Amino acid sequence: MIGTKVGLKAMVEDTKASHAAEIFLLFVVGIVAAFGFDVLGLQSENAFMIFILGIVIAVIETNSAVWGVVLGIAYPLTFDLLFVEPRLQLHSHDAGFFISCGVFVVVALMVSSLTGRLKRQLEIAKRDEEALEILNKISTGLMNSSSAEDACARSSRALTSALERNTELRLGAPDRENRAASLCFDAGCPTGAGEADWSTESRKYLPLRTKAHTYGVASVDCSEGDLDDIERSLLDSVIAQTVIAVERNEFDLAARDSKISNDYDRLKTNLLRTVSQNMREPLLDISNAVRSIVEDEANPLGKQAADSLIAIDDDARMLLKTFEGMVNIVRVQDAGSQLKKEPARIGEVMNEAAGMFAGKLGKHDLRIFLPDGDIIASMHRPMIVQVLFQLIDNVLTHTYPDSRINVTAVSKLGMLSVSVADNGGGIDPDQIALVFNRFYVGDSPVYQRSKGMGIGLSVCQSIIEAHDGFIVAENNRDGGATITFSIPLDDHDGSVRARG
Amino acid sequence: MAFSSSCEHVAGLRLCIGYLGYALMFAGGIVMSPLLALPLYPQEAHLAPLFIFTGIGSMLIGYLSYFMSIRDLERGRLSKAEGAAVITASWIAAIVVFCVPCVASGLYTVPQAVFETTSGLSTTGLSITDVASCPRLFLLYRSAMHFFGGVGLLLVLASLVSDNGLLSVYSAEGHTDRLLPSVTQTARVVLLLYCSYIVLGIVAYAVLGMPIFDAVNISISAVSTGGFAVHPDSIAAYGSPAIELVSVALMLLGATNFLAAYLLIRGDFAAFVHHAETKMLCLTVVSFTALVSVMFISRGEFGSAPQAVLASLFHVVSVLTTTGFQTIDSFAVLPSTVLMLFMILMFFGGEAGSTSGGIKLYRIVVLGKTLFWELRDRFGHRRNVYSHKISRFGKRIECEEQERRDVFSFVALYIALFVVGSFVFTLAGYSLGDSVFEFASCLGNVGVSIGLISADATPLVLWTASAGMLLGRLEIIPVFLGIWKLWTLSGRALRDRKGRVG
Repeated sequence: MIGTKVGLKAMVEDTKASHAAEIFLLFVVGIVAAFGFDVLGLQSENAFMIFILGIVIAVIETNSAVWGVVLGIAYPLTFDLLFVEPRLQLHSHDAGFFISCGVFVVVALMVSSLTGRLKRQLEIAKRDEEALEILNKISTGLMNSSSAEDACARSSRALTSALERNTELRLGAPDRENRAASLCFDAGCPTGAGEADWSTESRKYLPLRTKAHTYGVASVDCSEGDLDDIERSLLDSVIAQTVIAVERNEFDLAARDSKISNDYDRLKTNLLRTVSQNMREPLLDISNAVRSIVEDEANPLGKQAADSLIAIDDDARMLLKTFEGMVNIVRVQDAGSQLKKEPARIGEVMNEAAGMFAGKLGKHDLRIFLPDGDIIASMHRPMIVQVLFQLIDNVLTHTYPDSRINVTAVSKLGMLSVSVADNGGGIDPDQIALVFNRFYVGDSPVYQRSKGMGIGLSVCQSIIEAHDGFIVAENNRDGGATITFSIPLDDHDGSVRARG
Repeated sequence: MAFSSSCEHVAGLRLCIGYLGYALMFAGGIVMSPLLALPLYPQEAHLAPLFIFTGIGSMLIGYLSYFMSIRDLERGRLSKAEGAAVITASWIAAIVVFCVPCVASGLYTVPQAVFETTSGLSTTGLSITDVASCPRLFLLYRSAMHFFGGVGLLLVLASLVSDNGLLSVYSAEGHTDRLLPSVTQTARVVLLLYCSYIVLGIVAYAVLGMPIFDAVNISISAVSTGGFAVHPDSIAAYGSPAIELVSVALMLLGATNFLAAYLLIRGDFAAFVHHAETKMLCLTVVSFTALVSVMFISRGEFGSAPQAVLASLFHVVSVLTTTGFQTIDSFAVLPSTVLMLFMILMFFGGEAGSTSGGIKLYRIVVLGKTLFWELRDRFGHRRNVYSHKISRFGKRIECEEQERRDVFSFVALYIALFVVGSFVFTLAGYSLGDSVFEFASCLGNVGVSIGLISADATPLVLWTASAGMLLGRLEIIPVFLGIWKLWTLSGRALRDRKGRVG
């Protein structure tokens, strides 16, 4: 760990011969100072202050307590020899000599320890500052990245330069032949050099991941040694920044796609609105004009002419229905969550819808099964009538001429479910998921007889979804199809309000 | 360790203070150098504390400056102006430090001490010291100043300490030539040559019978082209033509470009001979010796013609090399014509890249050649294309327009300072002739005197002379540039500090 090597090894590791000249100079200066005090007749012990200063400088300059200890012994020894009477004799029996040596040695060791720690802290702080600067540069680069791959490439280059090791950040699952990398990607945990059970690996692998998803793997060359704490911290920070950049780039891409899709839908809807509004009135005029001609008893038409006019009227009404459906789509999309809903009895709604087919059923058998008791739900009544009308009309259009139609309403689990079931040909199972798609027209021989634009069920789905409900289509046991829509019964507590 | 360092570097005033710390530590060591001779002169032990505590004090202050400014920190690069600031501050600090023992000893007043130390460090050699009664330690002290001032304080420091900052200051001290690709190696080779000359000189003097103490001091003084002597009569005290000739040789060695000398030692004789300054030096010595000899002989100044020629040679070399040794009692007795010739020599000075002062022979060569080129370009054949090249170190090198402008600028500045300094001397009551001669000697770091500067000189004269010697030694421009830069750096530091406190 950085910052903890404060031991004998650290004290001796900086002991070099190149420091000998500095130590000698300090020794000479100290002794010369003692000589100066001696010549001036001052107490020679004043030189001890110079000695302590010399020891401190020696330790600071050599980063080694050893040289400080050497001076700590050499100073008092030489001083004792040269300046203490009788001169040129060692007074090793004098306690003061040993005390001086002891104090100097302690000073040397303490200063060495302090300077060593300070130096290491400075080194750590410096490296932290460098790492922060590198991280800042990388972050700025990642903000300017144009894609997820670009973000990874920038980070790879920056880390290779900063760590002075080959570093790669790659998106996607790695080659399965690389077991360590594959396991890192799959398990979302570090593998490779420096990790348990991966002693033979020369590279370290780290996942590029969020809590929910692993995007790729980062690999670092550790052939010359594992990463230290600061390098690992930098790497982890860069990986986190890169993952954020990758996510951001992917969100941006999705947002761009979504915007394009939204723009497309908006353009299509505007087209629908314009076309339907402009087509409705002429078609209405055509239908009314034709009816008045056909129903004019004063000027009866021939059968062929009457049939043709009736066909024209049918086509006009069909087009009208289509355009009304398109208008409803636009209206529903425009209303959105602002759809005005009021409580209505589903029985009355069902009867209203069924009443629209009076005299038009032909051989079809339409049965309305009202629920026991009243079921009241908040709805936009005209739109729900429109849905029921559309569903029944679909059956009349797309099934055999004598098919049976059952319309049922039930309440269950806070939802009102209304089903329109028939015993006609049913829906092709491969196409059942597509029936609610806008402009979808099935390719079954049954459907070819119809002349719709394929927006009826799409309109129903839009209306039901605007009511916070859902609509499903399925084939039933009678060989026909059942389309069921469900809307919430009540906005507040989901309970059924029944009367009866 | 990974991470390339891009942390903020120490720069500006703080960086300059850090390098000043180096210089102070070094100066402290130099101050204590005379103590090496103390065992030989134990009777002067009472003077030892002056050197000891001055030296230790300077080293401590220097170490503190270095420790608190740049130790363990990333150092930025010194700009040219900052380098000049470091040089100027270092020299001024060294002068102040060296003054302390002089003043503390009671031998000198403050202006006298400043003058003496500036004269020593700048290797001028003008002295107000009574060498007959001066303690040996102080005589050695003066020689130590010559030794380090001659080759350059920062050069010696740069050769000992491999620090990029010091190396950038190396050029600012006037060492523009590079012997070797590495500046540190160049500094060490120069120092080696320098010490070798001195050792040769000591041996030669000793062989000729000069006492060892004298030999050491005179050899240092001669090679550094300083001029401090240990006898009141200077070289005349020995009464030995051989010693005078050895002195001439040492002075010429000291005044020779170290790079040219290096080429000669390596065997490139042709490069040495064809070097422009070599030819100019030889021509000047020969021609002026002849002129002065004729004048001496015609006046019967010396006993015989050979003595007159020797005296002429000695003094011509002494003045040209800006050493300042003399074998006559005083230059005041010399005729004006001889003094005029000597003044010209004082302006010329020795070779660039040597220990001598003056304008330097290289600039004189450039001046002369530029004048010739101008006349040739103006009056020569229009269709001819002329080159403007000078022989330097065995090569014909183009003398660029900028270089010629720099030379002219320097000479103009030199003359301007000469005028100002001479004027100040006249304000002290001296005659014009005496003032110009004496100040020319100061500005050119020559050291010959007609008696103006003495222990009785007024502080104004001493301070003016000191300023002239320092400006001349540091080649004028770095001093002004350095002072300006120190001023702006200090102002900026104060404003920053006020901003932080506010």
